[in-house]
Amino acid sequence: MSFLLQQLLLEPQRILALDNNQLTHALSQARSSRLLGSLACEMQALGIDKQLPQTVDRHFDAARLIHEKQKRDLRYDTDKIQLALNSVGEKMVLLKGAAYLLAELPVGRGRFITDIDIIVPRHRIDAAEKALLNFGWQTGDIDPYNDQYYRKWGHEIPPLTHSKREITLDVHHNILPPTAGPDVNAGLLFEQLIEIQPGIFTLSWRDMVIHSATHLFHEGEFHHGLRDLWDLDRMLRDFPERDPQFWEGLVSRARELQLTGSLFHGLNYAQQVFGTPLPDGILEETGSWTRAGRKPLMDFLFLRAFRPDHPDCKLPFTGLALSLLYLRSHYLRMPLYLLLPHLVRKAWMRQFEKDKEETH
Amino acid sequence: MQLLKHLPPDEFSRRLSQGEIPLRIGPYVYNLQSNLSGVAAGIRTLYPDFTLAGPDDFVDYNVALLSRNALQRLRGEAEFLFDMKAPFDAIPIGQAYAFLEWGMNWCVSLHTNEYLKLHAAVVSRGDCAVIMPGTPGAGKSTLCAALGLRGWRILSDEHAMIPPNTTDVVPLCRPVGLKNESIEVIRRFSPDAVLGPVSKETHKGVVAHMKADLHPASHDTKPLRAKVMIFPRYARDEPQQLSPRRRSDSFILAAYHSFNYSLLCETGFEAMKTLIENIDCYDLVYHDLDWAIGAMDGLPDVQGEQ
Amino acid sequence: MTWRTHSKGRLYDANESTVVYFDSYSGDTHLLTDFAGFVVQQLEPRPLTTEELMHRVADSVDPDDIADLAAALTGVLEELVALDILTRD
Repeated sequence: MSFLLQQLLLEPQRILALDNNQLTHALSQARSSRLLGSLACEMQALGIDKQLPQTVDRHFDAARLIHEKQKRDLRYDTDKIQLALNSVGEKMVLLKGAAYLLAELPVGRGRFITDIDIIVPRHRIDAAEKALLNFGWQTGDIDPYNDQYYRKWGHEIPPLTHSKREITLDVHHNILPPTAGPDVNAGLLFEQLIEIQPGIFTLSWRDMVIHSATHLFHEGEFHHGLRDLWDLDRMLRDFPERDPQFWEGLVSRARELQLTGSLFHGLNYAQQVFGTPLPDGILEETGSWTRAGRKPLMDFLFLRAFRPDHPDCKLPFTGLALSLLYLRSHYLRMPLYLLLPHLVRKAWMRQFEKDKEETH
Repeated sequence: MQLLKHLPPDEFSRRLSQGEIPLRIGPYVYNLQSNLSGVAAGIRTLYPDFTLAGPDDFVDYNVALLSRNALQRLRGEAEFLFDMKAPFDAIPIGQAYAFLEWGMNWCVSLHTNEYLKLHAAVVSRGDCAVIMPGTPGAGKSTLCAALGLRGWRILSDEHAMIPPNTTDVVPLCRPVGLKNESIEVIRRFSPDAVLGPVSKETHKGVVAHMKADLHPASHDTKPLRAKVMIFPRYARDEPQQLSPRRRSDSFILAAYHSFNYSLLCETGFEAMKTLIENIDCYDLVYHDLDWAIGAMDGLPDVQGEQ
Repeated sequence: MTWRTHSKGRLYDANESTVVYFDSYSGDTHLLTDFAGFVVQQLEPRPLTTEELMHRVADSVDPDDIADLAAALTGVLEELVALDILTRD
């Protein structure tokens, strides 16, 4: 039963051959990996959704409806964000899910989003924040410590919410926190933007791939590991058709951004899990001797993380692999001297909150 | 067709602990798993007349209420799991049964969109269904339970599921959730009320569920025509009355009580419009259950059905 | 000044003093006075100036009530802008 979901995403017509038990598991896996919408739309694109019994297709339909609604809301919300940013002469640059959906890319097909991510140049972030606050966005409940942490060590300001909308807005000034190790020159990102609609921009195709790979290996959200890898696969199949030179400049761009490590892992695991076609030699070009030496351990960790987040698909030690990856991810983001006080402080604050509740 | 009560107790316990209790509930199959005796007892008390689906049937919702490891058992905690993931924090074992029921509601509230779903109790007399949306504390569940004990059929205590562009409601009969004083009120109201485990100190106070499939047609899956929408409100110190309310207002209030009206966009608007245009809407202020039931029995749409 | 709706919405008019309006741009549903509903309906086919709107409204209002009409119309238009149903150019 394992790896069923990966097969279905690549060849949705296989679903028609599944019995009821397998269908139960397929849906359950897709739902818990946050890929139900993606699978639903892949099926719909091939017209096979209507060949399923209605009792099964209704779940795919439910996911498609959620996706459609998110896309509609996104159009409205980005209109408003654009107005706010334009009021201070800043343009709107979308990242991740919001970019995939609004640009109508195959990677956005059926994809769920939980927030809207935008990026502005670091020296403009105060102006952007003020403008957004003027247009009805507000800083959520955040204690001064966390607020300061975000602003000092993060690559974004604390998430903004809107009184009338049910979405969170993350305003970034970089794709990695300054403490993460690689010192990404975010200014470079703004030199190659793509205007997908009048006044709406995304990163370049190459930067989108590199960012997605970076996110996958630095953010510690391995429970969406398979979804993030699916994003990469979709982009790596699509972008070379939009830009015939896509592959040629990819590695040098990653080098320029100091993110070859993330790119290597992203390409490597997309290929291992989804069979993503890669040009010959590209892994060697991104990989270094030290990375090759660490590969068996990394495979042990990552290939577990990229299984659907579902008990059908757990290899032995998955829990261990996931917590090691979580540590690795935090370690990648912050030098240890920073990491420890933050975790300690967080644990202490949780305890403090609890005590407070109990004494009330 | 095998009912849950036909399973010998030891086979039931074994299958429940292994997650092999697929129950047909309305249009869905829920597969249940638990390793807690309180939960097992609750299911046996409240679901004995539900049909077991076969091992080869498609399962809509895999739910579990488990104490998963030594640490959880030591702390006396358990978790609700959907697709074997925990969407909520762990809870004390004493609240486990109530949490299973909420979790089962949550599955439908969040994961289905083939119907316009209102947060409402649905009851029927003959072929006439009555939708009763309500805010927490409005007394919709108490009234729903009382109606069930006086011969009305309970279609749902939580979800009015309306296929768009119809005035039908699809039955989804599960136990009725009673809170705090309502539990005693219903016990006093009828000695026939069968109540499950009492969960104390939940975020909603004391909670117990009442067996809801009391009517011969309780397990029919055929949709019924809704002809009336009533907005109940329990008020101890106000005069009791059943009074017509405006359609435009009722539209907005029902939309407010909907889980997916907004999500369905134009489809949701048209579905609500079709419903509201074709039914009569009322406000019901009550404090005496017998009075409220009498008033509902006397409604023109209901009377012909008796 | 010209007024227009963001999008073509949907209206439910049950012949009461209020109507239900679904704004397909924001996805919000509003309970509007029948007067506000009438104004929105006038603007859906094409944008209109305040004067054009006054004419249309005056035609369908009791002459006795016309005195306060301009003020009422301005108030309603402002509210509809605040709800993001209308914009002004």
